[in-house]
Amino acid sequence: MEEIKLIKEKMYRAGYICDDGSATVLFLAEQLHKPILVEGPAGVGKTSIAQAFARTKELPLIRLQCYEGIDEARALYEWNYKKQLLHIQAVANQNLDVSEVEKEIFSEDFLLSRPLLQAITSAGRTCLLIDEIDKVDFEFEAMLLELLSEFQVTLPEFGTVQAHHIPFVFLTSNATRELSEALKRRCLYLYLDFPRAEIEKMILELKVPHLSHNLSSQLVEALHQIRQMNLRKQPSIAESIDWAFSLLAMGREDINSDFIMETLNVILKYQEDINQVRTSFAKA
Amino acid sequence: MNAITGQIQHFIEDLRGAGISVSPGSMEECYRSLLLTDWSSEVVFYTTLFCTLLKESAFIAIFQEIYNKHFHSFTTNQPELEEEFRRLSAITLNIIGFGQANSGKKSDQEEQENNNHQSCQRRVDSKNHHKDLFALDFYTATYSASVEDIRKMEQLIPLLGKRMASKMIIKKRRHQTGNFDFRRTMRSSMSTGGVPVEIMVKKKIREKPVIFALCDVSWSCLHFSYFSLSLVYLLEKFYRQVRSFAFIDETDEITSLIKRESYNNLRPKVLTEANVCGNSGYTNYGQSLSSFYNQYGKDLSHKAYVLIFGDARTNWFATNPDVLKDIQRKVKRVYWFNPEPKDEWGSGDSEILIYQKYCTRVFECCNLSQLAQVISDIV
Repeated sequence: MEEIKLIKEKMYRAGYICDDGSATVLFLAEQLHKPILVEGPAGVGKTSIAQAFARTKELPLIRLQCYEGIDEARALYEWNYKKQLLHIQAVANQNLDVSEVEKEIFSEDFLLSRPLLQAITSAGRTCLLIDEIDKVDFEFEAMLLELLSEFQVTLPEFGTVQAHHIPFVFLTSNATRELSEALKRRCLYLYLDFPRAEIEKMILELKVPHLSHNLSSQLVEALHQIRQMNLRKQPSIAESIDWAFSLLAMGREDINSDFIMETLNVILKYQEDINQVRTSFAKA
Repeated sequence: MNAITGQIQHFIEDLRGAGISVSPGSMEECYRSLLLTDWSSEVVFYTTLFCTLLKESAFIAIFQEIYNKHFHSFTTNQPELEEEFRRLSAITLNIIGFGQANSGKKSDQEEQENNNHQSCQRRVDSKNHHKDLFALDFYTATYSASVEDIRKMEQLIPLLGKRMASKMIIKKRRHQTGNFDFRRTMRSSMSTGGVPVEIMVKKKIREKPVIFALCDVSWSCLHFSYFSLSLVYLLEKFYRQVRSFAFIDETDEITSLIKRESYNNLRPKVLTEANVCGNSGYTNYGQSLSSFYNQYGKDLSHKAYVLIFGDARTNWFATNPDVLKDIQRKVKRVYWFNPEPKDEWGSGDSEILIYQKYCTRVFECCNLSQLAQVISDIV
């Protein structure tokens, strides 16, 4: 299918290797104007798919990193009260009408837009990335719901702000808690898993120039072997890229179990995992 | 209704039957998306169904299975089906009954009402034989459900663990702020000319619990012990100090075994490696409890939480409630998790009502959703 091929090609040029499945979801999201909810293990490229997509569309990427306890003041908007105070002081002895001053200090000049407001009020279309949505409280999720379905927000002092252009929205989640039905219903669902061997090989070759075919296939083979084991944290794609870089830095032509033993701490971040892999490679 | 729309409809109903909630909105979206995509690649077709109908990673395996059942032979007669689907798309959206596209047409109204009625009826039907894995009780799961169902339920356990972890973190943060700290507030007000701009509070120090988990691994608790062992396996990951024990008529520590093994082959390992069978080999709660108390009683302290997983069916052996009483006196809490429904407690050789007197709380945990509820209550 032409469109899907085109998306894959564009994503490749933006530095992201997309399989048919992900490209289909991107295509549908574009057609249906729907947000995409991306889930999957840590380090499979949930955030980078949004970044790459923004690059292919040449749109600015606005990113909102969620955390527990994030509120509207951090995500949506805040009044710049310091500037308001200064303004009040500046006009204090000018005998102005009170309501006049009030109107002035609650104007757009005194508004600090946070990522969500920025995404809908900017002059052109934007790409909005809401990272780790599963960390937010339920109240915040409800607020987000209104924004994502209507693409408008109501500011009490100001009135309703309607989006000029509907942004592309990506939400990423690590599934630490169940998101509300209503939020899930509004999104297309994209599950990213660790890539198949040939795709991972392509990723390594794209991200690590000068890496030979031979080396990349050896690396990927070792990685897949390691991911088969029952580890506390599986090596992610970002870590496999680091591993390839360290291979080059060490000037290796070939990988053997010695190299794997020496550099396990690049891809594994728990001592018990390192021990487990070590013993199983020593046996082999 | 033509062949392909019918098939998709059945597919969605099967998804619902397996506990995946598919809203009418998602269904409509699925149909719209199918019109936009080219089906010649199965990946594209699969992804289109997947991204519009499924929203929860725990159900991926189930989704795949149902997909294979319905569309396994899909690729062979795909072009005709696609053609048919496109031709009849307008009707399709109407059949769903929620499409905006045809909502204004009067001539279709009667048909639509009829269809709505049918789809309602179908929904009621599907509710009746709804096999929600979270609500499936452990007993039925072991004796009448398929092995795949049990596997799928086991896959849900890590999810339970994740939720438990995030809940613990939230609770920990919320409870961190304690009372007003006068001295530190005054001290910090010095830097602002005596105006207490920043209010200081004392941080609460939470006592780290020591957990002692006892699992009945006997035949009568077969269905439950799979899950209790997996749960203990999870606890091991979240709490610094967890000691686990298994018993039938003898109690043995399995802490190191749990640390070593992966959670899905725990039960056979426990049965072969731990010393859980005494003389008789029949569940004996009294003897197991005193065996636990005699061997490990000295390690119990006021920080300890004792969790007992079992049905309290004693095979008419002596119950020995005094041991539990002694345990309770030594530790902070004793929680008992009983896989039997409440109305069967105390019937036959169930002695839970006797043990209940010496437990802080006894929980009924027949299925995964009750287990999840209990966990979130006591975490």
